[in-house]
Amino acid sequence: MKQLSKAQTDSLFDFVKKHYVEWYDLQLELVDHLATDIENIMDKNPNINFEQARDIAFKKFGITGFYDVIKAKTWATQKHIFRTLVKEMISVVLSLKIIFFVGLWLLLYKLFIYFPKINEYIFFTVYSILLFFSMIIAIRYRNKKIKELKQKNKILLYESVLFNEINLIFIFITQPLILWTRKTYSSQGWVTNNAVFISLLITFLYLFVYVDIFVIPKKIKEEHRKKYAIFY
Amino acid sequence: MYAYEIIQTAKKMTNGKIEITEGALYPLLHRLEENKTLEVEIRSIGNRSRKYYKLTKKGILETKEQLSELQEFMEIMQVFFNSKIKPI
Repeated sequence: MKQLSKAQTDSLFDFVKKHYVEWYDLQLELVDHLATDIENIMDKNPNINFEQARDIAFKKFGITGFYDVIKAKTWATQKHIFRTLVKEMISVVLSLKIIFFVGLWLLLYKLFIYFPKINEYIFFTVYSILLFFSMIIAIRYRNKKIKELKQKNKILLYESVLFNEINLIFIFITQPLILWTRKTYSSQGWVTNNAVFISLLITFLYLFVYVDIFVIPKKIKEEHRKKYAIFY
Repeated sequence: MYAYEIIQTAKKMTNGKIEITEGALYPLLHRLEENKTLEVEIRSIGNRSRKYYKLTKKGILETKEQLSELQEFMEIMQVFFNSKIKPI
């Protein structure tokens, strides 16, 4: 059976890119599938040219084209990253690093209990600015990573999921958290339970950000390197 | 086995009675890969790369379990179909 030429294989990469498959790992699999099918079709029907065989092969993916494949692969990747995130957060909790986060929790709790009593207005201004500032850093980090990805020639699906979606959680949670903290504070001061809960929630948020930014990308990249050594 | 090979093998083994579509197979393969039922290996084939799927240890055990469940189900169905109950 005659194999497709390099130019024809390259044209298949352009073809799958045109059909919204932006990620190199998925492109590689689909291009090989199309190429194998095209070779078989052309072998059985020598009168059919490359473009015609390509269209026949593509039609087999159904009316939605590659959409179902993209959707399923993205879902599987999101699930995998989320599972790894939970696993890594548990491993941080079980390690010595937890001392830092418990310290942060106690510090925040003390601040929540004592500081508003001195000056409620200053407390909420500083609190809002700090959280807002953290949100800006998260947005800038996300934008930087997306910009880096766009400059790359070959984007892998896990990178896209990791930097486009996961980081959004922190960005979206900040504003409701500021409003909710203000709401739970009454003129008589903090209810201790609220102070415990909010300081714990913020600590958890920073634990999440730590794992999300510093642990997960490294971990997933390592796994990917083992699995897809040929890409590196 | 690679995805295209799976489709062709299923077709050949069943004399064309079972045709797995590409749109159905890939989502399934990616889900099984995520569940660690399958593991993958990329090999260079000429001027392109090919992704091979293989059952993991967990996958082999699950396959055995599923097959024995299917066998049991088929035996129960056989009992129903072979029973000589007179119609009312």
